[in-house]
Amino acid sequence: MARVKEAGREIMETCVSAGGTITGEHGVGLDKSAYLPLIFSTDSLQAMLRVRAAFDPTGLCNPGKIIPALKGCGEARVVARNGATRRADVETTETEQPYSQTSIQRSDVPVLQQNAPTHPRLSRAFVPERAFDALARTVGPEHVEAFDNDGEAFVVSPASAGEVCEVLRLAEVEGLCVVPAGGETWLDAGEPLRRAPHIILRTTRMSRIVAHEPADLVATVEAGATLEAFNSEIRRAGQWLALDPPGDGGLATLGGIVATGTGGAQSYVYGAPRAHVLGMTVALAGGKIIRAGGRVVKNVAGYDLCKLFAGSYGTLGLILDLTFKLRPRPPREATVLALSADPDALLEASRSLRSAPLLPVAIELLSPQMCAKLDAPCVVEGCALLVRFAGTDESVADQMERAREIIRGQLKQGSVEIVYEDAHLWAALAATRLGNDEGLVWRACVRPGDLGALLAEIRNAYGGKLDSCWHAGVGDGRFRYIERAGDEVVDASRLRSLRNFVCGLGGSLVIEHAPEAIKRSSGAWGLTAPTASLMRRVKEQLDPGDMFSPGRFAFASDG
Amino acid sequence: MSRSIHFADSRKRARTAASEPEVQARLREIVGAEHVLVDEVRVEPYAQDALKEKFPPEAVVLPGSANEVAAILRLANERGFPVTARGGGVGYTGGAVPVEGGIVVGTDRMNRIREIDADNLLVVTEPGVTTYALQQAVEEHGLFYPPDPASYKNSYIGGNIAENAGGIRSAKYGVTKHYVLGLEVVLPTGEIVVAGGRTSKNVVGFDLTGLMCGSEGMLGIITEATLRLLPLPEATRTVRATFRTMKEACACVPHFTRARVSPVAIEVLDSHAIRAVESEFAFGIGLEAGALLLVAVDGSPAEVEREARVVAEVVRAGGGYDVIRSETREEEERLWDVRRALSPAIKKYGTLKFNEDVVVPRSRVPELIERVDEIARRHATFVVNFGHLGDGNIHVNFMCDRADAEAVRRAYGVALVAMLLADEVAARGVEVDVERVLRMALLHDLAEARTGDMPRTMVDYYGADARRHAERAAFDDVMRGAGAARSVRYGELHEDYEQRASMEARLVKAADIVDLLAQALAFERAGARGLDEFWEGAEARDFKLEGAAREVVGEVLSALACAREEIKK
Repeated sequence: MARVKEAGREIMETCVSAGGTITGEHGVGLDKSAYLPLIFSTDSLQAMLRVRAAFDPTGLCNPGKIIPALKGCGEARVVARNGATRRADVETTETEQPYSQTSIQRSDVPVLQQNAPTHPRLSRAFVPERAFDALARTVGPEHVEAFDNDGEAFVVSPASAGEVCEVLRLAEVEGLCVVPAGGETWLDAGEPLRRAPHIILRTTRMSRIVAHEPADLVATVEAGATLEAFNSEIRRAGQWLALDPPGDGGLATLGGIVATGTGGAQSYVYGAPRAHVLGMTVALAGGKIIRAGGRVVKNVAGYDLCKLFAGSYGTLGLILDLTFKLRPRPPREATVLALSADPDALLEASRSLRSAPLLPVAIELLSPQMCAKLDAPCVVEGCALLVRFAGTDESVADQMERAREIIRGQLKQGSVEIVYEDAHLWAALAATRLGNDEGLVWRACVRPGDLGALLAEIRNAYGGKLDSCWHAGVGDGRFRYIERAGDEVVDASRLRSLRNFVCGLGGSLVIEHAPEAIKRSSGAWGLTAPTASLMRRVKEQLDPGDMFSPGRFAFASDG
Repeated sequence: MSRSIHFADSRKRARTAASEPEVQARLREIVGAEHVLVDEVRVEPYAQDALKEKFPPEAVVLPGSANEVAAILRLANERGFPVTARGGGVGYTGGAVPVEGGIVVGTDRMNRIREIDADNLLVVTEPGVTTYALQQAVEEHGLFYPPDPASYKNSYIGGNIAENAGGIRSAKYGVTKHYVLGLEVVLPTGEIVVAGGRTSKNVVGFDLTGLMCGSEGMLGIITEATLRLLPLPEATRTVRATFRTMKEACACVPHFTRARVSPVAIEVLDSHAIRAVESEFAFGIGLEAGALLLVAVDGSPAEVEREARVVAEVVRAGGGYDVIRSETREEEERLWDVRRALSPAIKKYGTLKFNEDVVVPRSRVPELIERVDEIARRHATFVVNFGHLGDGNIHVNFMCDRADAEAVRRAYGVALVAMLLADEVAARGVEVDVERVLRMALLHDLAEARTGDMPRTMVDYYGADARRHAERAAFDDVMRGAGAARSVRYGELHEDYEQRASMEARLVKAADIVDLLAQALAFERAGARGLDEFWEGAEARDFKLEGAAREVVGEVLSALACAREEIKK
């Protein structure tokens, strides 16, 4: 047995040093727990423990699995069990407090950040000059810019993980508020921040491709690289990162795309950004670096912390680099384009498409105004249904022919044609600006079959009109509405009633961009307890000083 | 932590508040008396999974709804006892066993599929539905749930999600987490959280659904899942080919990508795996084969036709031979039977299996296979490799015999038996050097305790000399401290035993076999099965003994055989 264990350990070590992992599909459980430190540093394991503590403060659920006992850092459960035993054995006054409370307060375990202060050092005055000097020493004066005119905040552009950590350490010591940024598409996402930011931490100087192994369809890249630059580089190997996030006019960085986690038209088939991420390195508050996930496509070693950071909008840490799963470039892409004045007829046609054995990579329905933005001569009036196929010449030709017949059979009026050179259509759709200062942009997510009902409700809410700028992912139930903000009270009440409607369908409505007043009265996310309080616990565990983008998610108790 | 095997004994049941009658009464109130099991015999099936380490729960609770699960967790918080969720209980890593005692919450009763929404390509299900049942149910609607862990007939969807199960189709379709749109989860605190929702992957805020996937039951208990489905592929095809080496087989994989084929599954079996399935099930694969590759493709009929053709071309160009392309569904099933037969077949190599489930970037699989072979040889262990080449996930299976695991425990058993045998032989008037028998048996036990009994198949593989060599090395090591003169004398004894030159040596050999059978008998008495091979031909075995010595050994062997017949009745 000892020989088998020794040999097994050596094999696991070999795999880890080859960039692999110790378990692909069986899990860690009891059997592999002792080997987790082969992959994860103590800091990374601590981060898992913190997440565990957020979900399970007393360590009741399936104790003794996955995460090995760390040196000098027992798990919460140890304390919890002691408390329980004591309570069970002798009913002393010592355990009068509720069980969970007592066990936690007895803990001297660094893992538990139970009484996280929300504003740790606000009393300390922020002195811009002193902050500038310190930041300039770290990243060089040319990489510290004033964020706005009042000089109370700086855009800081570090060039390395080391510099990021130094900035974060400084921020911790000085009690500064940090907002991670990439291409700055989503800088105002979420609720208005609770504290004015001191540092906009921009990743754009960190844009190297760290590793790309074409045979493995895997690449590791620094977070500040833009999707456009990265894809044009790996395209040489006939591969691509299959993302088309909204609002990307070429500046969106990979870190930003993952952190905001929003998929575009082709996420229908290729998946949202998080689905492409195999692993990442993240700098946490105070400058601790952790690794989440791995570098191989199949990996079930430990909690997948990537899932937390993807979509966290810079509230938990700053993503330093990312390992992505790549795809081979399809040799052929082409689009079937159907036009009709009647969006419901197009929706009906797309329903038949989805039940046919076809595999389109995107099915998008565009409003007339949205069509106009695409600047395509073929799209003149009415709504448009764009159905994109990708694959070999034969397969694309075959599928498009079948798709065209299906749509023709369904559509009484309008036209159906095939667009072979379709790249510009989809690029323009992705690049559509998500609003400016006067913009009001919201997205909803419902079951695809409920899009018709949603459109009807919107038509209703806007006085019978449905002609402004919107687009819908017919395959996956994504919907985005882009308009100019009008009267605050009217907008806010309309959004609230639409959100009620969408939630009634089991979906969600998120306000992406809006004047502050609207966000304040409606709430950007529409989070409800107990999800919100669970998120708050996670945030408190990973960012106890509430340094990163404070208040961007309004958790239930934030009031 | 040493891994050891328990036949009859299991670990003592831990005691937490969950053992208190008052707590158990409240559990009965929550789920109904008939759904709380506390009896030792009834909780037994919930004490282990495929890792076979037993940790009996103090109680098994079988809730029927999320509200009941929440009430159980609230009680657990109040009284402070551990709660371990369990699905089908077929995991390989002990994920579902209550190592610290407390209760097991089984999802067996939450086994309804709540909704199949063909229009929106999703299914809403309770956690206790088996993967197989779910696949069957959605296929009736022309839909497809791709994840297919090997244990799919018995594994539960809840467990699949908690463990983020993979399977052979993951090369193209990914793993369980790629299909989870939303979850209803009861948090350890007893709160019920709906994450993701019942729509398309609908994440607002942190992706709690994604985090739950693969969290192994430590972050909450899944009570409902909304899963994404795909349209059922119109056609599938499989290509099977044989290669001289694993290296050649692995080298084909990047060529599939280059030829723009993305196979559903790319499975490989090494030579030991091939020999096992061949000898047990006779599929007609040449035993000279170093590797077997199975490649499946799916899609529209035209696409499948092209891809199967390309796959066949690629494997031929890469040195593959006996290339078979399935033409019908039945043919395809037959090709995959080889893979399905694998798990039962490799049991012939040893009664114990320890597996590693490692992953490397797929370009490095050939290198890994070479290293595994080297490591296994160096540690004198025997491995069977198979796995999912498409994502670099290789299962390295260490095969051992039970005897190996027990070797250390039964140290000096042979010496004891040899003493009894030799005394009896001497008592019947045969001249025998009892002291020599004892010395020899002791040395034998010492060497064997060091090396363990190698599985026979390993001896076959490395050659009979390998075992002798290993024992001799252990023996020399033991003797190193004994001084040169003694070493020579003991060495001569060892040599005698290996050659079976003297009657004393042959008696020790007989004692060795008697000891082995006595242990097998003890195991069988405790309920173990599958030890027949130890008994085969034992009674008629010729130890080249004569006269009374022959009689004594014969009598002992018959007595053991009789005792075994008794148990069988």
